[in-house]
Amino acid sequence: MLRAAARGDESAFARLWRDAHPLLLRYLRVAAGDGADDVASEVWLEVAIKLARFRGNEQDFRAWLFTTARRRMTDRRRYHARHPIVLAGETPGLDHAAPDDTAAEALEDMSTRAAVALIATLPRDQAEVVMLRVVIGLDPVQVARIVGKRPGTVRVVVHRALRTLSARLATLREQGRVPL
Amino acid sequence: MRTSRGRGTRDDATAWEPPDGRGKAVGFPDVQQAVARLLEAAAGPATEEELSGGPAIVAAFVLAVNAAGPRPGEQGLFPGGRRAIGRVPVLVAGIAMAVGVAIGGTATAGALPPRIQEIAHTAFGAPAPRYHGDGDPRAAAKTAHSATKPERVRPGKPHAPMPGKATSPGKAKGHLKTHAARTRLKRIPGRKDESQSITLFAHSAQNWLHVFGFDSPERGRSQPRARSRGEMAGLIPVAGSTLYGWKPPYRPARPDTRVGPVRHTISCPRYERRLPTKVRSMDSWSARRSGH
Repeated sequence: MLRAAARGDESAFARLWRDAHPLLLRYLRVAAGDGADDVASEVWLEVAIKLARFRGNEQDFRAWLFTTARRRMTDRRRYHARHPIVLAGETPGLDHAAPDDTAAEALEDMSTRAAVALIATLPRDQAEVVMLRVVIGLDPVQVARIVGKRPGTVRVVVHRALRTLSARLATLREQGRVPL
Repeated sequence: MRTSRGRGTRDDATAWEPPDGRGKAVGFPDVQQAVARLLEAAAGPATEEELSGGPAIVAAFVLAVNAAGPRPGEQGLFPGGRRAIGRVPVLVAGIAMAVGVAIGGTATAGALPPRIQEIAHTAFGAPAPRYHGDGDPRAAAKTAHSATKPERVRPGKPHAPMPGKATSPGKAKGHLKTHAARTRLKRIPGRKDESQSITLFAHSAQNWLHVFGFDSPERGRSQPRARSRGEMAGLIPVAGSTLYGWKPPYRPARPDTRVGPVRHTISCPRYERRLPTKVRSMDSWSARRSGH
């Protein structure tokens, strides 16, 4: 599939996108916040342009995809640090209409959204590493390369993050607000 | 926190090992099972909302593919794909370099066919072509005679080498035949009197016969100034060769003296005659010289 997409096969690229985009979007929602959709679009545009030159297997592709995503995310963060957006006056455009949310969709969507939202409450570096290592399934070396840390550091960060998650889940249980 | 993996119990140290994020936490405490479910949910199947932008991305991909041109595998001429296409300039450059080195080496060795060797000689100073067996017997005899004849030295006049000493007669004749174009000479800077001595530079010694390179009389010596291979004293360019440099033995009074082409003649103090600017052949040069 990857080779076919690299050769310009449209359907192969569509399958590739369907496989990887949800995880990419969830990672960006955790790491980039509100701009996740925009960053994801930028990432896929870059992938579409550079895919013909990519060499590697599916795992390498994932690592490359999330490396690209992290770079675009960093670029965006720097840009917004230099050009802060100050909202003033009426902003009717921000009141988006609710999507076509049937009850089934809401229930189906609930678990994934809640899980990602809970992971996003972690410190950003921990949330990022948990998403890359645990949710997406990259190996520690690849995660370390993406986030610029050592593999041992990645393991420690994952460990701490999961302990934090566990503690928060316990708290939510005690409060009777367990989302899962 | 230090892990307690060595104790062999299912405590949190082993419970947090996330092999793929989808592991079943069977037998673990409830909280850990909850975390496992949480991670599993985070890695769950795609939702409709997440897949809503697919057509736009695929359209962008199609645009990118079309903008990038033919893809690997679609190349009839280069079945190896884009990487092969990328290697083509390198391949062409390598072949061109190999051919260039081969021709250059052959030209340097003087082994090219005469016409091509002549072009190489004109273009980048390779040795002039060698002609075997085409020397004029008359010129050869003249040159040989002048070479073997005892040199007459006038009292008080500086000595200069005679024509034909540096180049074999047959060789010189060959050059004369080959170079039919005119010879361009440079103006002698500074003084134009006979005490001015010059040293001419030639890009190839094979193009030269003895004429120039006279020491200044005030030095009281007569010795040709031949310092290096490219600085041939007492030589005259054969027809067709080009003088591209000169250097007086002494610094000219005005270092900024302009050097321009000589229109008709240049001074030759040793022979006290004027040399033709155009050296058409060795015969014409010898005739003028003997006439004097």
